[in-house]
Amino acid sequence: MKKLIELQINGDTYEVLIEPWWNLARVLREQVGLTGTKISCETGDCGACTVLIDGKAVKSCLYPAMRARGKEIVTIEGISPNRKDELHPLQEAFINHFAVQCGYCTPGMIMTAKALLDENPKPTEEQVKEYLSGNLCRCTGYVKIIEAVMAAADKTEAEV
Amino acid sequence: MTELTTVGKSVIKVDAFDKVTGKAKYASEEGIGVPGMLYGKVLFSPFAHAEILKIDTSKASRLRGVRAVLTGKETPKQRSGMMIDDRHVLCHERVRFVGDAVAVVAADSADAAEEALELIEVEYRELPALFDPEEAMKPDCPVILHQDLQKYTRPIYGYLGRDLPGPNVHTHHKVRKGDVERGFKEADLIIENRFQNDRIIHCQLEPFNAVCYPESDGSITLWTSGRLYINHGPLCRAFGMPPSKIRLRNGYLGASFGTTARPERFAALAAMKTGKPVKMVYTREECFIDGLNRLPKIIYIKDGLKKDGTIVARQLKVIVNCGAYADHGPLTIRNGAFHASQYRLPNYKWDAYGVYTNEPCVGPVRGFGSAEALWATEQQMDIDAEALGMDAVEFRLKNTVDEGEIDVRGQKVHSIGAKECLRKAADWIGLDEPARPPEGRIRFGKGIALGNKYTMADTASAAVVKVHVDGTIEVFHGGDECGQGLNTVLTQIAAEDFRVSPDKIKIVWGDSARVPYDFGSASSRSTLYIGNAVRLAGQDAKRQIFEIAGPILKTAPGNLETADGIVFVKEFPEERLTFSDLFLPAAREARGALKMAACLEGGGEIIGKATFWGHPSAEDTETGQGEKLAMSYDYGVQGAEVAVDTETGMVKVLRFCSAFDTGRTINPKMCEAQLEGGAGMGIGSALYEGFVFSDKGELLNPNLHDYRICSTQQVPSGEKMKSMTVEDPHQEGPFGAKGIGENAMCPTAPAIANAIYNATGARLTHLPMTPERVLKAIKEK
Repeated sequence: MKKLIELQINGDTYEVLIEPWWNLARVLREQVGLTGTKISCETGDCGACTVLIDGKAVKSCLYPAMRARGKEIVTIEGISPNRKDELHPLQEAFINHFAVQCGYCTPGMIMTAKALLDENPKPTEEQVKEYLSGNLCRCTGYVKIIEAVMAAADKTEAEV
Repeated sequence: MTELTTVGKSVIKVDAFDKVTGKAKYASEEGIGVPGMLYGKVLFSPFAHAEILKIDTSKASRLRGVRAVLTGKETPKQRSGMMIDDRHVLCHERVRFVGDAVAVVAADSADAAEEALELIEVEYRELPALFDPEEAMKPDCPVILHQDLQKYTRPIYGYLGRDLPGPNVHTHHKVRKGDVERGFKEADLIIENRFQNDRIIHCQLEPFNAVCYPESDGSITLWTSGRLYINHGPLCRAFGMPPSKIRLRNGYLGASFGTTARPERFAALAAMKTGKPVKMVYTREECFIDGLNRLPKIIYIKDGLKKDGTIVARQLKVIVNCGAYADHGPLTIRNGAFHASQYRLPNYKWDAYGVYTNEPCVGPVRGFGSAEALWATEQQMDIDAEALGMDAVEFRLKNTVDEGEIDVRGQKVHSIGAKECLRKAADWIGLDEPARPPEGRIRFGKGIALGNKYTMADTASAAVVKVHVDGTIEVFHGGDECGQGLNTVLTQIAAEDFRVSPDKIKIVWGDSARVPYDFGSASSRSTLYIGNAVRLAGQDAKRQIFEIAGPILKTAPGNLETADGIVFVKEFPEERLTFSDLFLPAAREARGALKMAACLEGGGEIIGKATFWGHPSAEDTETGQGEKLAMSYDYGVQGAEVAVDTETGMVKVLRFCSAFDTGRTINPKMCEAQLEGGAGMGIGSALYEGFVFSDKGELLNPNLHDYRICSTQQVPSGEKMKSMTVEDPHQEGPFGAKGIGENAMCPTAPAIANAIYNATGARLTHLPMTPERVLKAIKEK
């Protein structure tokens, strides 16, 4: 039996009709139309579906949408500083450091990196590698992704 | 040549903004929220080899929300295939591997479709199954997988079906040069070895998916997460439909690396049967089962060597476990013989066999035939060198061919930066320096390998270039944007030729109804082929511009040039027109406003078009020789430094480098990114990745937890990962450029194997080099 629930996503409230077992990734993509969140493995191994829930990076393919009620969800579509065309420093760094290839892992990678920088604005390279180890990328070999995150950290810190 | 302004620069990727903001459209996004959409699921065979006695779909059909349950009966009678017409869309009377497609369900929701699968009742009679290719290829093998093999048609490369030694062998490819027996007689030393590799798969992050819309005229519009024209032909043949009836579309691909599966067929089948749109998304497990994987090869190699370090003879016997249907297997086997182009091999013999077994099907995986061959030959080179008491680099340098020599396939060598790559990689990894002393049970070692990857000569690309009234240059191409950066490369090339900034270029791709034919993004060919097609189409458009502008500027078209959207007289640059001046006055006034009048004084538009065809030579079917079988070769060397835990068998790559000959680098940062990505995939393929089967042929690790690809933890980064390029321009490359995508992982596994040997003295012959195999090799050395 479907249920009508409310979700807080990127500062907006959405009413969605869902089956209780649906995971958050599916609901974000199919009910809300926020398709920047990607689904790749649905077993929590790849991290393509990573979003922030109350500030923590969460693999939304393993997270029941019902459980997200009353929590603050942030997706790749919600991290622009002006909520429109301005880029988050991480997005800018991913572009400028060529950290994007096919782009399918990119939203999840950026969301995990955001959680890291929110927690620890000046991570070491080893800390970045450790934190991103649950996000798989098949194209880049990670080298430029790590570079981009380090560069975004520098920039964020310089602004503070 | 005037100085290049855009080519050779690290222009920001044209798709990066859309990809970091989540706006980029992949096939996965197609069909979301479309009313009336059905969702498809496939029933895969649980047996490796069985006869289908009966299928009862009545219970499944009665389930609420189920709109169709389709079986082999509802699929075309004719078999089809990439190389051999040996497969039905859904199985008819027999299943030949665990994962063979038996039925398709379409329902109102994915949940209902999944539930219906469990209600389909199939009665099977199990048959004895073949898993060992060496058993399967015997002339008297009691189990025969395809009784009608001799009757099957072969749409291309039919000559690979002759001189077959057994009833399960579908392919035999030969290369002959000189007299290998005489070579062995002349040799001072004979070295023989056997190598082997397991299946690996792409693990592109976007799962296979497709959406099919039936159209009112009986045609279909089909979205694919796969490549465009590579899928288009086989799909038309599978359904016996002409090309105009299948409009194939794709967007950004969530990577490719050659990946291919069949959700398009199943979505199309269900859509045509129900008359409704159907969306089909594979789970990760289904991606493993239905996706084509990299050929598991058994390679017997025999080298004859002179004391002075010359290779006088090499013989290879290659047995490929191609699985249940031939698919890309025969071509991959044939193209595997290109791997030897970098060495001088005066006497050479290659026999490669493709064998049917009851395992999943094989196909293109980054390296298409070369990577697995190099796994054997690049270790053999190190073994040879050691036996001769020579240094690994010196031995390779001595036997590496030079510009103008005739290679082992009969083709004149051109654009070969291999020797410089060897020196650069050996230098960076410090191959000459003494090994780091052991730390307890940890041993350290270094190794290199020299790879090459061909680009096929027998393909073509077409392109269309349209010049708009506002000065925008629109480029239409039929290749695929898999993340490698094709659209950026083509933007740079068009911007260079029109001397405009890259933001004036707009790329249109991914729709067979709008873009011209292309062989597709495969064979590391896109930059070279499509780049050339875009250059030629641009020249055609410029010719038209100059012909229109000539009379207005009162000069011959040949005196004109263009830059920044201006046409000017070369000698008197102040005599000029803008592109919009070429159009009717109404269009000139429009200049980006809403008026519709992009028409020339004489009628029509400025549309350039061109085809770039590789002009291949024929291949001698008995000797594999030909003057132009490959369009180009990209050569590359990788070096690895590893730490081996001699107690656990765990190997860690500490430092890694790539030195590659690009011909000409179009975009240095993207090139570096390709090399780093290739290294990452190569390290995974070397140490962690491989299909594991039960003794009944069931795949035991079809997920990203048990099949491990590299995470950030397994790949060196920062200072520990180095990418270097060498530029030896190719005469047929656009601005001299060649491809690089595939070779970026071809030498990785043998480089790491050579490093492990250097560290431990243990030679790994079976890929991947799992801890168990490393420990076993250490014990047995």
